[in-house]
Amino acid sequence: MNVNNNTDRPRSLFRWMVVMAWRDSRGQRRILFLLTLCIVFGIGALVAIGSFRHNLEVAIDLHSRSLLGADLSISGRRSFTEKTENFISTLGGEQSREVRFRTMAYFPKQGKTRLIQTRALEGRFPFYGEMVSDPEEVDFLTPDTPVALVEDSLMIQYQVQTGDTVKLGGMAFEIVGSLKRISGENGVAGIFSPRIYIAKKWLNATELIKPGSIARYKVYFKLPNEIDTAFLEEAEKGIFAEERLNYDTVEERKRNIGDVLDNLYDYLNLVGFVALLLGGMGVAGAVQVYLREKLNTIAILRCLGSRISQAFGIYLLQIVIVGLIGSTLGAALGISVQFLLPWVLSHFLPFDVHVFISFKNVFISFAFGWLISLLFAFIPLLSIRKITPLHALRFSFENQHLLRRDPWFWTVSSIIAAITLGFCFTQTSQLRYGLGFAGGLAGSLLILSGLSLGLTWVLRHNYPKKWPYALRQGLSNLYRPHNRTVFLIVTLGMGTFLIYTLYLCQGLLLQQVTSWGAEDQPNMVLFDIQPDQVEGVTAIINDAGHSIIETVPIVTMRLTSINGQTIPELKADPETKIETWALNREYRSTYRNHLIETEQLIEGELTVETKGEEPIPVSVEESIAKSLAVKLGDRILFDVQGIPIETRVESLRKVDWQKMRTNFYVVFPNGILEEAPTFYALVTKVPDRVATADLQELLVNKFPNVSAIDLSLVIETITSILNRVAFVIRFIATFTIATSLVVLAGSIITSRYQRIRESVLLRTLGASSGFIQSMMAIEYLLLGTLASIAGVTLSLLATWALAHFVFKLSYNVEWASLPVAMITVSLLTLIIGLANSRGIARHPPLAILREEG
Amino acid sequence: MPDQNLIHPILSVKFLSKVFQSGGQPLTVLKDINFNVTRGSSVAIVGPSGSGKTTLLGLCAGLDEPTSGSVTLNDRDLGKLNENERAELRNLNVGFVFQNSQLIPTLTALENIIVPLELRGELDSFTQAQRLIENVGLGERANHYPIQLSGGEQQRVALARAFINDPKILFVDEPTGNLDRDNGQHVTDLLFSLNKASGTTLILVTHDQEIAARTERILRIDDGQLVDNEC
Repeated sequence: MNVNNNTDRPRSLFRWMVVMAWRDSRGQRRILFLLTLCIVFGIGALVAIGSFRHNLEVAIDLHSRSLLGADLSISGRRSFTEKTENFISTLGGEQSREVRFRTMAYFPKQGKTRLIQTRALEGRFPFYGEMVSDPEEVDFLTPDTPVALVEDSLMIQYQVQTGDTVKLGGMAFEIVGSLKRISGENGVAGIFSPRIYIAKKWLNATELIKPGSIARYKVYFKLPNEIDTAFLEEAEKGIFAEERLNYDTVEERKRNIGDVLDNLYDYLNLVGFVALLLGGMGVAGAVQVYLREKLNTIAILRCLGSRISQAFGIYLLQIVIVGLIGSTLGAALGISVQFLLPWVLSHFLPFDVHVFISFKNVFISFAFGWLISLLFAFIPLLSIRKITPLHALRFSFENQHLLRRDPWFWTVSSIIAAITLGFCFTQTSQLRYGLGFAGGLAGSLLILSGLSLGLTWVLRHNYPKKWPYALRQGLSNLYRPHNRTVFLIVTLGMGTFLIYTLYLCQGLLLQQVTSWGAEDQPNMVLFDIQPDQVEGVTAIINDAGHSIIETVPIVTMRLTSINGQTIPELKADPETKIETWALNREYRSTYRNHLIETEQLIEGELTVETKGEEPIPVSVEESIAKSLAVKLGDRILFDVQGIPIETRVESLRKVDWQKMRTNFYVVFPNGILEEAPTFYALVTKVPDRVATADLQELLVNKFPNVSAIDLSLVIETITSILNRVAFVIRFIATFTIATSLVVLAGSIITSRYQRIRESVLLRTLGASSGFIQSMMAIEYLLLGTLASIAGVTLSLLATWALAHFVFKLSYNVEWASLPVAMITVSLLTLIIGLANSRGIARHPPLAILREEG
Repeated sequence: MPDQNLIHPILSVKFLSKVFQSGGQPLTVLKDINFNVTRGSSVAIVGPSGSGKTTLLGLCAGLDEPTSGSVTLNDRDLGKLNENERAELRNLNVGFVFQNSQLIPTLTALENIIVPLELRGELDSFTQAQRLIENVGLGERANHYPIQLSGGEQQRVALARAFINDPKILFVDEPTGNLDRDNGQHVTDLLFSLNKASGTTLILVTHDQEIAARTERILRIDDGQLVDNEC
């Protein structure tokens, strides 16, 4: 007898485990392959997102300068004062100037108007990166006649060609080309206000900049040396604070874009992680079924002298290899998908991204996904330790392994929970958000499980006894011994929940906007109306047969001090709670003697009229009060176009910003601002889109400086943005759906032999193949229906919570979409179920047993 | 001089009892079983269905733990060994033949036979296994899977597996229970001839009186108790 010595024995035994793992997998490799598929999509999502993030980081570094187009930009809300110009001249370098503001563009040939953003440029810009146009490198700055470069999407929308005319204010510009892209700005930027570039020398001729016009004045620098950050920090406290200027550097822009992309990446990663977790659950379920078939083999090996560790090792090896194969396939899928992501995210990326394989990220996602699958598979593997050799003689009813009494079960489960929480935390960067997401995930799984159990119980105890036999048999299959009904409902339900919640939230947000179009609600706001234009604009609107809901005077002003502290002092105070943007901004305030329907007094009293004695009692909106850290009785000194006016916070208002009205942060009483330079906004109600277009055309021809925002534009813009965002999220959520479907297919295939046995018995007893197929179809249909009910129910709950706590919107559901969602999930389950059950009903019973044995 | 076989029987069972919990109630399957088995002998355990024969076999082979009493197998008290030690003992000293052959479905006939040796670390014993499979008349079926073999052929492979590790004691549970008469006869003849050739102790559970009669000793069990111990 050739017995190895002690040093060789462990190696021999390991070799035997490897050989045995391979041999034991014979005839089961299809099932093992299904196990690999469970994790492929989850790992694919993580690899794609992680690798693409690396690509983005490299692209941001590479294109950093082109993100701003310059080394430095300084901007303000009013034209630069002498003091500012002196400061700018000290900085040196090459400079270019820009004035940008919103106004109405009119295309005479097409008879169309649109709110756009005019950018009046002087000098070479961008210094870094490019302005991509068609034709290439078109010159709109130097020609002696007024020409314009128009946003490509706008030209397409209104079928405008190069050579056509666009009127901006009092001036007509020949369109010399279409603007495709500017480095540093993404596609979404141009959705609400498409961009039109003109030379700054024509700005005055347009007569669009009037007192009160909202414009941003910018200067861009190309500097010979690196920016001195200390110098900028000093300037921020000094001249920038005094002159209400903002500045932007490449580093700042990189940080901002990085933050935005990080948020996007983190969110997408979380969605991908859900797919991996579902896949892990699928692996656990499939391994459990797989091992059930191996009970006898394990018992025989134990009888013949195998140790527990050896038997355990055989199947652990199989799972390790399955996990490695699945991770490899997932990584390959992820790398392929990575090359699609620039297209998926095209509207949100401000530059071209060179896609390359990020091996480090591929490896990390690969290892992480493999670890997760192994941990989940470990749970059912634990039961191997309790299989006694007695099972080979007969099944011992004392042999049942109760997982919940096994400390290793709790250890492995805790590790999975800790990894999940850790992953959520790293993606959300705040413990409470990480906890929130992990808690939400756990809660969703619990609720889905509860719903599944409840629904199956209800169905089981309440079906009509007179249902046809095929229907009753299909139903009873859902709770056959060792069924995976609840598990399948949870995985399918989770996929349904993700996609349907996204759909409902999108609808909720859009509905909020469309509700503005209710019968009695205004749907158009005209602004930038000069005092001498009010009468004319009013006449045009009245002549068109529309009612004017309100005409609102607006006075621009700036903050000078709060409670005696000047703006520079407040900015320099390290303990201030005041937000900088609230100090810098130009305030547009109004005066009236009443509250409007979107306002509600929450503290103090509204003073309706003043005799002009300072401090003037003003009403402040609650959120700006919080941003300025002011309360009742505090004093605010405003600079009303050169005139200081001291005010006192007399009341606080709550404003419904979601209504289409002219809402204000600060409201003065009558009797103080009537003599101040004022411009007007006018709110009206127009019956339909045709009337809107007609009115806009009339107005832009007579009063080209008057801008209009109509509700249809708002709806169109928000819809467009939401669709783009939803597309990205849906793209990643598809991985979760795919995982759910693979888990479903896996479950059906792993239970195939059991179904065959049942089918064979029924066929032996006289059932037709049609009956068998009906029975299976009913089972899958019921499964899909229960899953869709569970998923949709959770979706409705989650959407309610989001509406109530996050969006703060009223909760309205498009009920018509509910049956569509449910039917889709049910049919998908039916199709996959029947596809994987092919042949069971048609072949002769004995032939099936020979094939499958 | 004392008979070594009597002093060191290969199997010694003392006051062996086994009680199961069934639906919260205790179910006594075996009660105070006592017997010894000398080396090289053959013993049949007979009794009606449900009398506890298979349970007794399992306890004697170390596949289960008694509620009380002791089993000493090849001078090792099974009660003092842990599960892995019992497994090792089985691998080195014991052969098994089950009623339904219990071949591993994913291994070929030859691979099934060699499992006990591979568990010891002997990975290159195919020659030995080939010899055995030819002894049982299935030389040309060595690479067939169990599903490709008939019930009788499977049981012959199981016999070959039981003898591959030169066991000191062979436990056999109803070897012909699932076979027709002719196959059963063939398997029984093979069992006894292999046993005789190897000199292995044989413990055989059967309800077949003819098979029992071929052993040297018969232990009768009824209702969990040893009622007869005839030679």
